[in-house]
Amino acid sequence: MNKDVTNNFDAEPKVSGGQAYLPLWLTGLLGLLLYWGCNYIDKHGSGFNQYVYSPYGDTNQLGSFVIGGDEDYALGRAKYAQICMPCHQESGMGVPNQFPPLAGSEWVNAVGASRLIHLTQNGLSGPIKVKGTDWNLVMPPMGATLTDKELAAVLTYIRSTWGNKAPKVTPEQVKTVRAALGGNTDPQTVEILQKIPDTE
Amino acid sequence: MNYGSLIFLGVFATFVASWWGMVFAPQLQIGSQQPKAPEGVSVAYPSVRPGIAAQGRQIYVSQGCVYCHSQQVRQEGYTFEVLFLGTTNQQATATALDKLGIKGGAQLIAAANETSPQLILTNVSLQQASAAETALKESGANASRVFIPTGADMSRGWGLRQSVAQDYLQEYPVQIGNSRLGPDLTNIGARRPDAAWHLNHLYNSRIEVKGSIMPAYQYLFDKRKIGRAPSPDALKLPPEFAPPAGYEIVPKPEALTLVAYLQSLQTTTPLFEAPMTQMPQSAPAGDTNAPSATNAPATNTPSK
Repeated sequence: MNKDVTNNFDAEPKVSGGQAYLPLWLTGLLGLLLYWGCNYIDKHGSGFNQYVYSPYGDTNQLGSFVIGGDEDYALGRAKYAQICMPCHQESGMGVPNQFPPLAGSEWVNAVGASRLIHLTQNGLSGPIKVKGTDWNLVMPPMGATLTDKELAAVLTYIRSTWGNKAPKVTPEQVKTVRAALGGNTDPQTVEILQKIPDTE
Repeated sequence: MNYGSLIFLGVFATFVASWWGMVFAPQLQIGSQQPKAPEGVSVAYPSVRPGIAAQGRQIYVSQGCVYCHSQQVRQEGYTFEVLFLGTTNQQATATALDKLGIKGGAQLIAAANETSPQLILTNVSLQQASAAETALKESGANASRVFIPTGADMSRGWGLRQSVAQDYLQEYPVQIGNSRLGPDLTNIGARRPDAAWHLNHLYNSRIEVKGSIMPAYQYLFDKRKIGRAPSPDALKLPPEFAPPAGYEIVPKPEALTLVAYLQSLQTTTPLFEAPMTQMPQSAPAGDTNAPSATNAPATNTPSK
């Protein structure tokens, strides 16, 4: 042991490591990795968009999936929310003593849609029996402002939601009923509707 | 040499980098999300829980349900299915089905109609599904493609789509959980809508799920003598779990609110960022996360 060293034990060791350079190949490799990483984020990150989650790629891809699996269903649901939901509710259960339910209603689930098209096109007044309960309120002609396609879609929606399982309504059926009604805009009553065959 | 400042700067930089990546960047990315009405619906999602379910949430937190149950559904991919709903031109549709490589065209055409859709393609890409849909529609048939999120959690029936940030906007503290000793509860309200099922399951999970390892939460119930008439709230228990004759098991408010909370756990709303197909979902035959009967622990039968 050297005497000088033992006397200076509290001093910091004097280390001189000389100089070493990062090898050129490692610099190149790290540069390449950085380049690949940036490209990867660019390709898969979708610009850090808040609405894009893995496994989806970007917003365009998400937009191409029709929610509900069916364009008509999506359209019908949108129109229902806009026009029917204030009274008949999101659940299709209506409001007790005010608006009759659509879920499980024999009028909605009839095999033929002709009565429903008449009812929504011209509105309804007078008493009506739904699911064993009497209702009496005027329904305005809510369907009159819709196109054939839209009215068919919203009727298809109420006939296939909340456990309802009635056949679809086509725009052609709506067109036929509208042509038959001509310029007639009188509110329908149960007596008028019951003259239309249930299966039409 | 004195390295103090260098070490301080290194530590500081490390903390700043992690704060940037885990707090600041997510705040910039999703921090501004608000409840919003999904397409075609006028009610904002997620809505505030009804009061009784909000109380039940406190019970959920206090009972430590989060230690065994997660509330996050993960998704690995997605796929498409094509449904065939009948045709007006049988010959053309038969040819089209043949071209698509689908066997048994005649039976399919005979069986398919609007109320009994026939699944003709599964596990196909959007392009394949659209092509098949177009080809069938051109032949006079009615067909539609269905979007199916896939992943281990979906195969277990825990959800129809993945959980996204929007789902948690009304949750504080978020009960996401990190352990799945029990099944994921994200969508339990839709999977098990029946309150009686939940009450029985809380009282003793073995009543409803054979071999379940969930503790019995019997202190959330009162065992009491039947008075003049049995309580309408009393549990309907199978004989081996039933209390002695003359007694009944009645849920305390804690159990009822907890069940209301469980029923409110539903991710059945499709979002733009998490599309899904709404389908009538029936409860699975047995809970898929229950361990097999061989390693089931001794049953925790209550002393009667």
